[in-house]
Amino acid sequence: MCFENLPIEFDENGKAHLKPGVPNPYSYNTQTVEQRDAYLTDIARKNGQLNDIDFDPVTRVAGALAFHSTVNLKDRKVVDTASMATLFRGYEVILRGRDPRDAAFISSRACGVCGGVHATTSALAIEMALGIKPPPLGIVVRNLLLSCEYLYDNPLHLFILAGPDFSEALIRETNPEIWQKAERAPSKFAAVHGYKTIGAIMTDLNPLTGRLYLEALEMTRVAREAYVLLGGKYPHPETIIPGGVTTTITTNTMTEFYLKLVPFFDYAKRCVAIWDDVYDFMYEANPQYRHLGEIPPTMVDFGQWDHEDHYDATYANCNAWGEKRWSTPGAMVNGKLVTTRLTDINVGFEEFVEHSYYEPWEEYPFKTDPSGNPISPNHPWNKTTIPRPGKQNWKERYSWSCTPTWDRKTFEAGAYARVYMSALAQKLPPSNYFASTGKSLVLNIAKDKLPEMRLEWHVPDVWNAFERNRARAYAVAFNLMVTLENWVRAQDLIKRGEKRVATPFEIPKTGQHIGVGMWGAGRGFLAHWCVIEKGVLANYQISTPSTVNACPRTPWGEPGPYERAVLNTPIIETNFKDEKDFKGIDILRALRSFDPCMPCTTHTMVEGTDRVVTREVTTCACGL
Amino acid sequence: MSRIALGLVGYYQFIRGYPLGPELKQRLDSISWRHQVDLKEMNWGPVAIVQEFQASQIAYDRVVLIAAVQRGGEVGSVTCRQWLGGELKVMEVQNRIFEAVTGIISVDNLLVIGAHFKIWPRELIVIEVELPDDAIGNMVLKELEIHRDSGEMTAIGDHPITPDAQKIVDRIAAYTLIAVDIGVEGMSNLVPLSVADLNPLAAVCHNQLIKDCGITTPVH
Repeated sequence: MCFENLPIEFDENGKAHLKPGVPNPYSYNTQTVEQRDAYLTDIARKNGQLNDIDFDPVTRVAGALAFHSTVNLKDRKVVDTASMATLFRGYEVILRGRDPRDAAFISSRACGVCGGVHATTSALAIEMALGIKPPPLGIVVRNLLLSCEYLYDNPLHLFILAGPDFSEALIRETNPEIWQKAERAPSKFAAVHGYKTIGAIMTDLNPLTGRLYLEALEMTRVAREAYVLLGGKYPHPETIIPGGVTTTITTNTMTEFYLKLVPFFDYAKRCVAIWDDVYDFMYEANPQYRHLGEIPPTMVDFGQWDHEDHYDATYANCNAWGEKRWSTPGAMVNGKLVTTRLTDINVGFEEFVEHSYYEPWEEYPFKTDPSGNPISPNHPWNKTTIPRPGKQNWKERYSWSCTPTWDRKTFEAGAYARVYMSALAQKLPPSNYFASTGKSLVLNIAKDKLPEMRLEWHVPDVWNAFERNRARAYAVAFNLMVTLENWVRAQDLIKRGEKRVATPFEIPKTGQHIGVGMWGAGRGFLAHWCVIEKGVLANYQISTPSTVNACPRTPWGEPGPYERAVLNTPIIETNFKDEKDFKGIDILRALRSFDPCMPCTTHTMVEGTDRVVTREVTTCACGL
Repeated sequence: MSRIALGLVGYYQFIRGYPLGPELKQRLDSISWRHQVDLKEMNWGPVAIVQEFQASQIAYDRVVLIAAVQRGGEVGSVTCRQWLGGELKVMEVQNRIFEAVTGIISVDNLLVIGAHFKIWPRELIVIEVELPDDAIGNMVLKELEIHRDSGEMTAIGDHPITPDAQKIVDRIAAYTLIAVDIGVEGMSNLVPLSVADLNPLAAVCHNQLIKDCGITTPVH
């Protein structure tokens, strides 16, 4: 029994059904504007000196996230928060009515960083809808492509996007007392990364000039080059299609690919050592950091990297092939893993628009999923995206992000989720490179210049900003070893004479077909739901990790993950006199620990019309 | 014979909703250049382009970039500029790198980041076409409008180039020919372009460190 809030129970075969006697099973209470107003008034009454602080935009990845917080500087507390996606993405509207074969190419543009994951998720959705099972080599190559994206994406966040928050330049500026300690603090893992003090690490995290910063830029290039060997192009590959990939794989290709992987063997070890050192030091320097961005670990992840012996693209078998993935799917509530079944994750998923610039929808075409499990009117298969731009109002509608929930709870998504779930579940397929213990994830990293090394990520006793980033550093090593596992499998398949990488298919011109691609991005949870009718996409819904993390409040008033994490964040910054020179670094660290990302190709509504236009956010020549 | 890099910044062959780009590419492909010219589709973020230049290890004698920009000029006008560089604070460069690593394509970011990583030769010419504020929306997505009530829709592509757009292609191609074959010496109409002339990072996507925190009025 994994559901606490949705009125769903299971029979002895694990099939879900609605609890009998519940008159409106999917109804919910909505917090009124008056209730929210009363809450804010109460905060103002109890806190004499408050400041509204807006971070707009917050994200370093393709913008479009604003964050509003109310801070009591005297008490060093955040008392109210609101997270806001400032731009309409519009892909769901664009895709409606189009040929399903276009979905991968168009949805890929949802992100300038990780377009390949959208393309793949889209391919998975179409595969499921139309019953297309890729050949084994196609599945394995797709896994390798995913790994390359993660090997690009996670170091990018650790060192280029979030790293500067822990650099000498920023620590000196915000907390000079910590910098003084860092200069003298010996590192624990100097033998791995070569830095004798924490201060030396922080100096090399300095933006633009730091050695670690520049090295990460270089490593992102290596990962992209590896991707291009198999995918032809990055970030928007045209080689990912429903049914597999369209690339030609030879032994030579695989050898070249391996050569690109080799530098990551040592880099992964150093990533872990550097961030273990930095975060352990920060805790010692000020134990208050344990509360920075702290919330109970409630997260959902679909798992990724399909096993070629098990994946068959069907919804009917998705629990079986899902649990054979190279990272385990799961829903975790307050640190307890409550399910690893993909159907449970899908059935418990809903999206709400009460605080978003969207109209509610009336239709409820799918009462159940294809296996007969009940699904909500708020499930994406039932959702219609109806944009309604309007005035920002923190009490009512304030975001272009909707509010995703699982079992009526907001939840986190992230690279760390696949590490966490895989560690707890003990369901990873046998591998020489990694294993789940139920409390930790063991990673055996191959030898390069550094010797072979056994790394172990342990479930932390507190879930906060630093632990998100730390787990992301371990995710680099996990990704790498999944890559190696799949590289070996690809080699074996090629030796056995496998050449096919895609399964041909036709788009049926009649009937209704539904599917869901349950996959992941560098930032975690990613799903595309499609409904195909008469050969075209009748509905297409996308849920991204940043939607999950940056969502506004639920209709019943539960804040989203960013909002909750910042509410719990103490103000540890010391180098300010008043609100005029307050930097807000602790709030920003809490937010950035989620690796926020909003689309770089954004769309806006023209006010007063139904017209969707792309708003170019840069000076480029796409329109040429 | 000199070695010249000719880059179409942001050009993408598959976006054919507005045919100016493909038409221009076709035209440039057909030119017999006086020098050895590497025509590059710069449909990548600036960091990727920098890394490609670094990896190629080719010492170009001249780089010519073609890009769409908004600098407040007349829509459809074509301006040739010579990049003169300038000085920026570390964080100003860093903010552009924050954007660049996300894959955002921007000729201004490319100029700054390329200069920081020293990929540009002494001679860098930028041929800019001024496009309207919502150029991409109008050009690319105009055909994607879905009329919810009627269910009617149109698909991307196959719109013939308009006479006005054809004139823009002609102008760009003419300037490019001189810029590539002769360079700065052959261009009497060059406008200087330095870091002071660049557009600030777009409000909707710029990246920030702590300096950007805005403090507003207390809650009442």
